[in-house]
Amino acid sequence: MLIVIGGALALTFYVLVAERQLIGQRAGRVLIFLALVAVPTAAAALGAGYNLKRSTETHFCLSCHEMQPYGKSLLIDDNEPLPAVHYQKRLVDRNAACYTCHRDYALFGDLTTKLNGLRHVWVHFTRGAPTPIKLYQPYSNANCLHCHAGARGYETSKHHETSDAHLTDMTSGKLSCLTKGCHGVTHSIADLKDADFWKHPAAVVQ
Amino acid sequence: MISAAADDRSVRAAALLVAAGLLVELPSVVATTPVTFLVFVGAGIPLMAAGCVLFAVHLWRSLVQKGVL
Repeated sequence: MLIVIGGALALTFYVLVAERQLIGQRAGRVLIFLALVAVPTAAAALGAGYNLKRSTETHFCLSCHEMQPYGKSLLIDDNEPLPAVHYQKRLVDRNAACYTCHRDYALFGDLTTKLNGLRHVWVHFTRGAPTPIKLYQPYSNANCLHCHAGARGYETSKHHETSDAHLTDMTSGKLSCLTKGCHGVTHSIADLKDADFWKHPAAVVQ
Repeated sequence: MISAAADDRSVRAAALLVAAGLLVELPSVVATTPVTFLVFVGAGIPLMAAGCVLFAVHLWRSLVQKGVL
């Protein structure tokens, strides 16, 4: 990607330097068009794709210091906190752990997620992140069900069909998966001080 | 009629805008962080788009002047 943007930049600088000679020739004018429209447009499109891909990575999210405790919580040595279980058991791609669980899976969800991310950066620089950080909206069951819906373990679990809990309520979002007593233990930021951590070289967050 | 000097100025201005946009985009491909991403989206792409549009307008006016359009 560096070569693409660097190459486009070199071509643009060439046009800046040799513009007078180029403009007098037909081939030169074509080169100017390529340098100022076609190549930069292609470079920007490729760059945007590259940036969007990179922005889904766990490292990207954890590069903000506000997110570091949340990254650390993925390594809590305990079977209860949901993010830690998903991360350590590789139920999510470790390189996209944050994005997998916190993205919007609806139509144009990628765009909504990225716009929210830009909003985070804006808030960081203008007001500072609130303490504690809160989601803009309650965590949606749809994110859990994106992977778990239809899974045997989810549909046949005796805990998912009791007098208090019904699969239909979970599917409709009436009953949150994160209800206390169900899967209510999430990032456990408050308990990080006293927690034990999984030490594994493959862990992205250390 | 568009003078050669005006021709020069337009192409130069467009090239400078495109170059500025590409320069701003460069750090985001070296190390993608939320800040470089924001700069890419908020400054790199608009600067480049402004350069492209400026050049396109210049091109269109030149073609109209020459009676091609």
